[in-house]
Amino acid sequence: MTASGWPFLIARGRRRGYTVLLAPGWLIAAQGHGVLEETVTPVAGQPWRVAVAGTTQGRRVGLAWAEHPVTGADVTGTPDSGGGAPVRDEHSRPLRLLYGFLCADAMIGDPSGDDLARSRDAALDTYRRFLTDEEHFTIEGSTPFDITSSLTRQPGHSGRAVGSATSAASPFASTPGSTWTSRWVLPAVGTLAVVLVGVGAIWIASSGDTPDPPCTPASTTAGPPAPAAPLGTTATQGTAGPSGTTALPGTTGPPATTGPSRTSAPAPSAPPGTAASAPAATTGAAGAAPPIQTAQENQAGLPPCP
Amino acid sequence: MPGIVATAVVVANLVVLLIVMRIRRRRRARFRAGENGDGLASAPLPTFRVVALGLQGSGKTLLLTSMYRRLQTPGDRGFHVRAPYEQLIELNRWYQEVADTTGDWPQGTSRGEMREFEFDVLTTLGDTTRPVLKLGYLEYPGELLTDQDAPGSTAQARLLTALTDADALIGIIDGLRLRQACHGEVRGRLILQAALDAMIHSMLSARCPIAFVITKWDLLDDLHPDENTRLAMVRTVLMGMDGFRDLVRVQGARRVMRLIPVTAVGHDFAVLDGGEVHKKPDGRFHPSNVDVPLSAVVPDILRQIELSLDRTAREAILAEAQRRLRMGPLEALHTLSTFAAQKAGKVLLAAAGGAIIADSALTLFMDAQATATDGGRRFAELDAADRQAEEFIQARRRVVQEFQHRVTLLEAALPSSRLGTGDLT
Repeated sequence: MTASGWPFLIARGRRRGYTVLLAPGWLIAAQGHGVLEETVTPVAGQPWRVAVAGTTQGRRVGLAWAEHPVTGADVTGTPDSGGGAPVRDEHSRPLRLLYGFLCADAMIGDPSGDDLARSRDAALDTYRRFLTDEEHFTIEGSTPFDITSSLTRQPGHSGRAVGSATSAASPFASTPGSTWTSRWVLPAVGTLAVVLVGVGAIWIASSGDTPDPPCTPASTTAGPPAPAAPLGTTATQGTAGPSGTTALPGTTGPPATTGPSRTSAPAPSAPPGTAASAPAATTGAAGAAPPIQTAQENQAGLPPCP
Repeated sequence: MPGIVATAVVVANLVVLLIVMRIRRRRRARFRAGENGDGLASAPLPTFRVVALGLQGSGKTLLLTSMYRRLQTPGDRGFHVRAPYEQLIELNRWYQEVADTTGDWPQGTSRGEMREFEFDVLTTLGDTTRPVLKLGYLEYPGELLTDQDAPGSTAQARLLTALTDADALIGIIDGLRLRQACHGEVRGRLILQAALDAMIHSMLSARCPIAFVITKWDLLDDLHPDENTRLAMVRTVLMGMDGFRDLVRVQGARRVMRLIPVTAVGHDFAVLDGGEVHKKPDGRFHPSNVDVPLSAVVPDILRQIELSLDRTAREAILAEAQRRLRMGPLEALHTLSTFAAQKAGKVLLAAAGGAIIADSALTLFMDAQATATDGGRRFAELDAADRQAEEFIQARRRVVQEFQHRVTLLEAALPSSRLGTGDLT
């Protein structure tokens, strides 16, 4: 049994900004290709990345993608003409393609080079048509092909779209990949904090006066104030791990982060069920990255697709 | 009988006094206790969110990169900024891409990369370094301002919400397009007009300070050798463009508006050749004015509050500031951040124009008012925890003054950087 992959392409042109140029026809028809824009980000030096996303219809899709710097030869379509010089936009920035393939109801483990190459060929065909008339170009539907990449079966419906994972009411939220944090961990931490504060308040109220520390002898000089008590011992209170952000109540909510989309694997401690509502992304090392598995799949113990 | 009554009154007064003292001591002890004994650790920090409005390729990401590079160390300032570690890695990567004269310019920001960079503003407090406030800076692809979102994407909606919630707006004007417009190139003028249209739509109804930043200022060096004259020439071009003049007329009378020229790479790093900007092989990376846009945010917000207050609101704020002086510094520090949510705070906010003053801004504004009215708090009389709090408050005031100092220096060097209704005559 073979599975199908649908090529996709996100790129900008010489004038137009990033947009989805190629996507599965059924995703376009379902008005759900925006999920590609929000999920597919630069691979940041890695050969490829994979992720799981949910469409607006609640369908889960596996994505694998890579980057391709656009050269003169890519634009002409003939390797012998145009050369390998980078093509730039009107702001002097090099153009690149974010291309890959999508599998419905499946998670891509290790994308094969052949599958990525076929997706790139399809993407380049589309991109050349885009460059000839950027302003009037409309998104194209891709043709599926049989993939050779390893897959893991997915539950058919997530019931939640990645596109809405980062709420419009939270414009400063981090990348979609971090949403499981705000959905589960933060409320749990918040609840725990409330309980602790309540217990603390009762304890303080019942403990009577806390004796004041001995007064420092009053200074009679008008010079700079005497050194305060050392602050460094508790300066890290409320800090959030290595990010160094201070997690103080009433400030800015969850610390901003570039999210797990930059990390090498989904959080192993993700609570059950979070995978269904949050995209997981991983960067790949050529031929070495293990197949991606979300926490939910690990628990469900689903076998890989044949 | 009168003796008994008098004694009862005295005893009653003593009991009330003891109860009040006990409550106050408990409150202060609670603040001092904080977490692990550091009352300051639990004090909320004022946070200001900045959104830079600029089309794709206008230089938003380069500005952010150079701005952080400049501000990440104290230099000759009394403060510096710090990003979360994962954001620091990204900023450093961008910097290396920009500064490497053998490499290309960084590739643009994709829609999936939209996120907020959150900087702690730190200053020295005793023998430690502590954050005194936070600045958020939204990074997003400029095409969100001009192109439709693909169905199913929420990026544009998030940007619009961010614009509504912003404490300050920065309009990014591409220096290359300005140069093209100055030289009569139609394409450059069209893009410049499109950029202004996109930002003016949001800025006309904005109730926060507005600064325009001219990026790629180094590409305009040949307009005139004198920088202020050059800036005045550019300002004249902008004031001649549809929308910009109206924006200055509408907003300039009631809020601070600036025109800040910056170069994120310096005046000897890049050249314009055949319509493309190339790095010089021996280019010298030396950004200029990149710290000003962020430095201006807090002083401009405070200045705007000043402008928006009528006499009644001003007197109410001064009275509240006086009342707060009777508290210990630690208690004042903790309660100040929640003041805006309390009834008295809401009354003040309403009197001062409602939503234009966010909680964070009110915190710093009250802070500044206390400076003006305390006449010198008797520091020696404070206990250790209150001294910490007092030092923290003083440190925060110094940071705000440093911000203001940076802005003052710019205005002294480039008087044309201040936009206002005077430009309309």
